[in-house]
Amino acid sequence: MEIDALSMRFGGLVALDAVSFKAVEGAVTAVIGPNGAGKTTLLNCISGMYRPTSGQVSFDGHNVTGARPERVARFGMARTFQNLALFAGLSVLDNIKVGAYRHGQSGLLEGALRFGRARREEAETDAAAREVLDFLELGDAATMLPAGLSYGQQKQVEFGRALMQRARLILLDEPMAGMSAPEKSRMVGLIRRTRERFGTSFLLVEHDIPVIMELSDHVVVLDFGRKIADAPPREVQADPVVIAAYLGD
Amino acid sequence: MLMQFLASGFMLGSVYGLVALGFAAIYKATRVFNFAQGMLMATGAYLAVTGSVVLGLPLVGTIAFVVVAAGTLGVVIQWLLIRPLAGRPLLAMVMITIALSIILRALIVIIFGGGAQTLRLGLPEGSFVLGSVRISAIHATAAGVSWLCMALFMVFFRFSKAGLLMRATADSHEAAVLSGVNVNRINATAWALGTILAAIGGVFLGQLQVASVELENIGLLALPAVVIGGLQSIPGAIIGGLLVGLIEQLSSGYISPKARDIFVYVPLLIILLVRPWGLFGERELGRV
Amino acid sequence: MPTIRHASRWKALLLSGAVLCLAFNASARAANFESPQDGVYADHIDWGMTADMSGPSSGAQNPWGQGFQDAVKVVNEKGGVGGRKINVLVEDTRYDATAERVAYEKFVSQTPALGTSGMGNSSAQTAMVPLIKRSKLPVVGTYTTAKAAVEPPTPYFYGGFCGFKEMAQTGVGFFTDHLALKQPTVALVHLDVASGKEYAGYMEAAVTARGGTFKAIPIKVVAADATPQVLDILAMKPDFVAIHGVTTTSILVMKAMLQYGINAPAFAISYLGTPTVYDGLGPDAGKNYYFVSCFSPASSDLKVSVALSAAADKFGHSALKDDVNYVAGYVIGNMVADAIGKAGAEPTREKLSAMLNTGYVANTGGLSSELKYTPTDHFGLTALKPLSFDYATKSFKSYGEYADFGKYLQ
Repeated sequence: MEIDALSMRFGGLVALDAVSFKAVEGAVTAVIGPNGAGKTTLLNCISGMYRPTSGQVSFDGHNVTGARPERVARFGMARTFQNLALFAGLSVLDNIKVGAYRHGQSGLLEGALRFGRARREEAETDAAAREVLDFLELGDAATMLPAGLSYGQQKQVEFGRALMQRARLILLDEPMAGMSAPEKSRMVGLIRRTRERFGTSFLLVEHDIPVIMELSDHVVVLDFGRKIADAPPREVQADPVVIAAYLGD
Repeated sequence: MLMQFLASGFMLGSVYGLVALGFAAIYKATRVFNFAQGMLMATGAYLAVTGSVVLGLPLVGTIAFVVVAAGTLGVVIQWLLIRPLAGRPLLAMVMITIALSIILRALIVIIFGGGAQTLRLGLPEGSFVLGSVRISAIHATAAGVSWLCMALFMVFFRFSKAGLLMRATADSHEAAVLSGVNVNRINATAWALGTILAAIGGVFLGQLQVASVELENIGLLALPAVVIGGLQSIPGAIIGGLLVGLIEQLSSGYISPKARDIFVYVPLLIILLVRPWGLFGERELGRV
Repeated sequence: MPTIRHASRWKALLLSGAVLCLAFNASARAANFESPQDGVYADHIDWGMTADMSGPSSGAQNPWGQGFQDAVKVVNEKGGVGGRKINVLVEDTRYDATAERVAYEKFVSQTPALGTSGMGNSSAQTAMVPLIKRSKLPVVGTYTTAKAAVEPPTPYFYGGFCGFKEMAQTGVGFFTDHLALKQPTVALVHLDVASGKEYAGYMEAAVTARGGTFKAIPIKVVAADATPQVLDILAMKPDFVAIHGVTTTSILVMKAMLQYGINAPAFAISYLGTPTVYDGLGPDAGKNYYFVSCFSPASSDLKVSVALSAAADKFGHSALKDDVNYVAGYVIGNMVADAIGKAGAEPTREKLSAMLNTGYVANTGGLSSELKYTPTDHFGLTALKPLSFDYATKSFKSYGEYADFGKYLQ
């Protein structure tokens, strides 16, 4: 995925100022920066929640700038949210299955009538969802409601829904926020295993610097909407501009 | 006498339940309290008149015509009226549905005239005796088809892909948008289904008497049915419909026809006061 | 659109117009009479007509309005009345008493009419009696006639539809004799509204006058089912049943009676003797369904309905000619034309009303029973006859002449 001179203005406020970078396929790219640096805005522009003021987002050779979320999703991009976006009234299994249907081939009406293809797809989806649950090590929780799970597990369910989309790039918005240390290491493990097993790329926005250092291949630093660094973690950590942004003023 | 009232109350209540289910489907998916549900039901009766009398279709053709036309109508309503107003205050949505029912009524009067239209689909007439109860074939057919439609809807809602997405959207509109569900398509599906269920109810009520715009008032019994059963509950809507049918028969039979209104709307008030989520609905916990 | 600024200029124009009219009137009075405040002009006469053309009772009143207008169109095609065409000013009052009053006041002075017809709303009629007395705009030929308007007779008010009391007496009398009963047992299903209770009173009087047993069973206007009512009927085992209501009432009651195997005949009020009801019932439930009427559907007497059928066909209302409501409108339309003619070459509201009040008999060509007004009777129609529908020949069938049933009326 390539971001080229992406800008986003809200009235007079410049949230993103000509940000450009590349998220290499198969890599974990992290976006960090102080509060209000424009990280979530960046994710929203990429995933189609916002239409950027100018600039371009291209993914896998397609220009997806300003496309609506469900279209962006169809190109193979999935995302999780800072605040959980789970369906409280649906079972864990159903929550995960919702992810599968974004790229379902059969139409809604056909699905309703359960014709051959739709029925086959139905069975495949069910099997795939159980597979994802096992992968998340949440196999026993299939019929539970999300409220019965711990916060960390709920985050994993959301992650599982992104997996169900068979996305090639998953955008993670603060996946570690509010997690305990063991939950964090589980999540890190999960991201690693996903990458190994499916070759999925990740773009994550995170505050937790140790996690970033451990997990990411590449780090982009934003400050007041501008990119101030774009390098491997070790180099970023030593960059005086970055240190100033985090510690200065 | 009692058994007879229970039987006819059950059969009428089944049709009410069907219309109420359509109402609940729309409410659950789009949070629109649809005051046009009664008129959509009357529209169903007129669609059947169009199919059987105007187009001269056979029974099966007429049913197919009603289902397709009602579904299309639902989608058009969602697309033209509901979608542009998404996120507006409740009052605006309610006014839209009231305006919709007035427009539908006027359209029907312009096209068909104000008078009643005879609707005879060639469904079995006559009656049979079951134990001590006399049952009319047309009532039995109406109840049977209503239950079949309700069962189909439940299967669809529980087990199909579109059903899952509808449940997801109903559960959290926001989460559905965020996880990339095309919520507009889901809402259009809900309106199509809600309209089809109302229309099928209208076909039977039109067959039991005549197709007339006054059927709207019978269709609006779906509102107390749904509130009593629980706005959020699909089985609640069906049971609410059955209750209204039974209450109507028993109160008209043992007291007076006017008593029906008291015995339907007093429980409605009590429910609203002490259990606003209805008999079968789940208490809505404060959501942020 | 004149604005405030132009008002004075308009006033001046009106004034000069009025002066001109007066001068003109004085010179050409006899040859070319005009009386604009009565809606009478040299070449035409304005006449009001109110009916529920699109509201809750439009199913019955719309055909009435069509019949009325078709009759007037025929009169106009033949040259009108005394050289004047009748221009019908139609107001759709949607069964609303307020709209009825507004329309009446409009015909009084805003667009003055010589008279008005229709007013098919008995509560409006009852409420408007003082207004009619004061305004002196004749109401000629109503669709339904409120008791309060004709007992005692209201000046300027002349009915035009069969009466509930006569319906009850004719129906009860005919079925008691027809079924050779000594003391009839009769059930009435009626709407729980004012006119329904009034009818129940007449029915009870008619049945008890013959020493019979009577029961009134109410039903709602908007009913989905008549099971409770019909179970009541089942328990009573009546010799015959009477029905007061709307189209739906007849269909629900007759179908439920068929379902519960009640084979007793039923007779309905005049308004419910329509092809729509018989069509909705079908032959099985419809064979026991009768009605009493003071108007004859076209197919019940092909000889007397030739002109009516021709008019209906000509104006695209062939489907309505067997609807008693259409026939009623047609009869009243003709009566209005005839009455205007009889009011003289220089008709005014006063002359028209005076003519009707002193004793007027309309020539209805056999399409209705005798339609006449006297100083003590402004009701108009009294005699009725029972009718039913023959599904085999697809035509209405009457059980005698109007005169045969006068004996049942008191």
